[in-house]
Amino acid sequence: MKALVCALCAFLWLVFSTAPARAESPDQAYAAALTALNKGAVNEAIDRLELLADQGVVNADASLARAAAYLARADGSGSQPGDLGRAAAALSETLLLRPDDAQADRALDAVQTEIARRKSKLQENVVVRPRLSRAMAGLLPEQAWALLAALSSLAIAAGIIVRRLAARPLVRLSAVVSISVGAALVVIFGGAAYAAEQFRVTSQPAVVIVSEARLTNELGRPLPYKRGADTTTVSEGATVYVKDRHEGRCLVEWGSADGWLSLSEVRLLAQR
Amino acid sequence: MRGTPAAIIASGLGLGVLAAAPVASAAVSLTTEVSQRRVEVGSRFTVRLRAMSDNGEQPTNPELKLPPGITASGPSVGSQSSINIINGQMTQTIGISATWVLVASRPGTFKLGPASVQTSSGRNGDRAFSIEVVAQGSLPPPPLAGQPLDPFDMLRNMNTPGFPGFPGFPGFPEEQQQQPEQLPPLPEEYRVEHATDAIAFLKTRSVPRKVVVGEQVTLSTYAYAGRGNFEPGLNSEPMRDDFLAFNLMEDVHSLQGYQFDLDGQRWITVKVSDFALFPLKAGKLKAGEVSFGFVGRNYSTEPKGLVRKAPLIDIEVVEPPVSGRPPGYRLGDVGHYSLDAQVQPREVPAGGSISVVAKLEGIGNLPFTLLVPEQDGAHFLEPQIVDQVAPKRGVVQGFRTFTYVVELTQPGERDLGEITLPFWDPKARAYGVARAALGKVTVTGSAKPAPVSSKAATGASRLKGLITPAAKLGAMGAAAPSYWPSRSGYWLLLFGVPLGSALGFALSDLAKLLSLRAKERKVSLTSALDDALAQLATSARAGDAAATAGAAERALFIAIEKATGLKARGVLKAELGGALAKAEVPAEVAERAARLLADCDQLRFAGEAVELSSLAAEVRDICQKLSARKAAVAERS
Repeated sequence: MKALVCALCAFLWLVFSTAPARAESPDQAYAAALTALNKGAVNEAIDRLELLADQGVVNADASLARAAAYLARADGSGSQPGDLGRAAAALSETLLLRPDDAQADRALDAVQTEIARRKSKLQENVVVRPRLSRAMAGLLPEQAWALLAALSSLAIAAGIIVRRLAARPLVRLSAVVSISVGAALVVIFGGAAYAAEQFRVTSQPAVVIVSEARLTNELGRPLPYKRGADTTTVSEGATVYVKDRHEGRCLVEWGSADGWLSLSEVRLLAQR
Repeated sequence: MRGTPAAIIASGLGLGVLAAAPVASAAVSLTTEVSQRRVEVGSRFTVRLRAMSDNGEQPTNPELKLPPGITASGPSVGSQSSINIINGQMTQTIGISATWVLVASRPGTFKLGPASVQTSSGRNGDRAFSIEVVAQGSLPPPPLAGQPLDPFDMLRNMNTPGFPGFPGFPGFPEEQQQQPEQLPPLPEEYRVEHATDAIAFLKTRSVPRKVVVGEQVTLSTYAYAGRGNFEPGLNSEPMRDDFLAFNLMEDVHSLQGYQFDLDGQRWITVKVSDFALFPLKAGKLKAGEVSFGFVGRNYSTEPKGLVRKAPLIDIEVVEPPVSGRPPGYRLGDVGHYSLDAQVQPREVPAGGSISVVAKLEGIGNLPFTLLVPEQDGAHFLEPQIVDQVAPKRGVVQGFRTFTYVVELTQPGERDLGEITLPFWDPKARAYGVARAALGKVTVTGSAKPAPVSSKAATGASRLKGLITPAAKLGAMGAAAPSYWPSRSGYWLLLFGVPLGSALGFALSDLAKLLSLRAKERKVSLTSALDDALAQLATSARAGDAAATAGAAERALFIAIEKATGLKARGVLKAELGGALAKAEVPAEVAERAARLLADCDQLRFAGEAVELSSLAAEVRDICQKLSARKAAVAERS
């Protein structure tokens, strides 16, 4: 009888000491994360906001709050390696989702400056020059390139029509100029729109979230250093472009260099 | 007398008795195990040396020093690797396992060893150990076959009658093979549908085949021997790079062997390895590739034996669902756990510390971290961990105790909150959270001024206030934006609009040009007809038959083309009438035109026979009729 009571007590203890997990809505989870952040429970806030991201919630406010949580942890006694990189990733994600967010822009600059300051002894760069093609395509948003190309196309069409229908020589000359300039612009803008589309489709921005990540070749061997080339060690907080993924590793574009990193070393930025 | 060498395989599979504590040199850890401390003269027993290195260097060339009176065969060497996670730090060790089979030829107490291996720093040896050798028949007899096999007793009387040479593993007397009615039932896990080899084969089985990251997979390898009893030769542990492994046979002191009939043949089967694997990542992971040597008179008498390999098997590992996942869940925390915590003392002065002891208990590979409550004025230091996690009845389970020192700096009564551990329960297929409430503590006295952090002077402290998150989550973005360049219609329009307008005007110009050309052509036919008729009249007047024929023929062809569009020069004269009729030329006119063309041929070859003036008049008449017919058709249309 005594054994039965003991067994029953043990069973009840097991049942009540383990509770089933309850799902929260994104709004509830965000509010709970902010509450935790405000009371200093940064780990709890990070856990909640990371879970939101894992659940596929793509929202600039959530990304910004995640950056705030990581910065709070980086600032406190419980800081962990990679906190600033994760904050930079969250801020980059915010800017991807809300390009006009001045607060995120300023914070990202500050975080990258702080990382660069810490890395300055190692002479590593947080920001490297992207490839010329990517830099040019990135001068304007993809839709802007597409719109400009469409306007150039319309200019050509209008020039053709006017050139055909107009009788006055000056108007016909203007039409010829319109056709020529439009043709040149449609090649430039159309090319930029195509390049931007290809960069968007074939690569995904990511941010390095470890203190430094060494680029390797496909076999996992570190890339040799080349004189004049960008460093083959990627700093925390640096933006890379993931071009391929394979068995826990990813092929990234870092400045002018291509190399492989572990997927755990980068955080892929969510995009709509 | 019956004796079995099960201890040989038992020790080869890690079932031996620990003879000496591990000895760690600079980089290699050595452990020597001996299957028996008391053996009979003539009995076989085994010594296994396990040499593990955590610096990536694999030890080589194992040796065992032996005294006179003890002979050894081997060693059989297998490679090993293991991954340990302590306080979140993962270390990987690699090494070898060398097994010698020994036989004592006389009684007495013998000092064996040390067993040693070669490393880059030189030869590293373990401690020596002693065994006692007694006369034959001094030790108690072994249990019957088909029952759990005691590896130590089974080693007895190896070379006694009934087991000549290779008395057999796992200990089935030869005569029993003739008594199928006495066979114990074969458990389901040992069953095979067909033998993949007539002599011996291995089978590897994983249960289950699809798991989540951190869930236990039991990987078992079974040896099947179809030619009677056998001993183990060279064997290797399963490959398991992507898993954390627990050897389920580490503490097994008895093996179960079975006999069964399959396809008209008697087979002996025994489980030769059994591992609890915990996948470390998601994906299609591979494990297995065990090799095992069958030594025996019907297999191979070489030390490594008749080697058989079990292939790698795929284990599908997925992540537990994101839906319903509790905050703070860490990938790999899988099982069923309960949590209990004790807090002492409950009253402490400000700036003092209390002890929180949390005991995590349950089934699974127990996690090394718990979620501790966070609040201002209470700081949990890194815990000290004491644990006992081991397989029990094939399932890894146990407890892990986390002892935290919690610094309390702010006075007052405060609720410490609760320690939690979110986990995925594979049996319930749901998440659970193990919780332990810590209750309230009273912090007396007044708060001490907080020490100035070194970070306060650095840039890091400025980062905290950089961002002010929105009070509420903004509207979720709509569906993924549609980019124009991703639509093929955009590119069609981009190039289609200018090209289309240019092409439209070009086509319009072309149509006009063609129309103009057609008009010009018509005009040219009229003048050509007039020229031809004028030349016809001139030639007829001059009496030039050939020129008249040529001019008449040309006038007729032009008139026909002008009236019908038919290029009559390309039509045989015999078929011209039909062609004109098709072009709706009146039959009488068509017939006359054809006849006049025939007359032109006749005139060309026999000019005197044709009246030139009448021919010219008739040609002119036909040309006029054809022209009149064209005008009538144009009027009608």
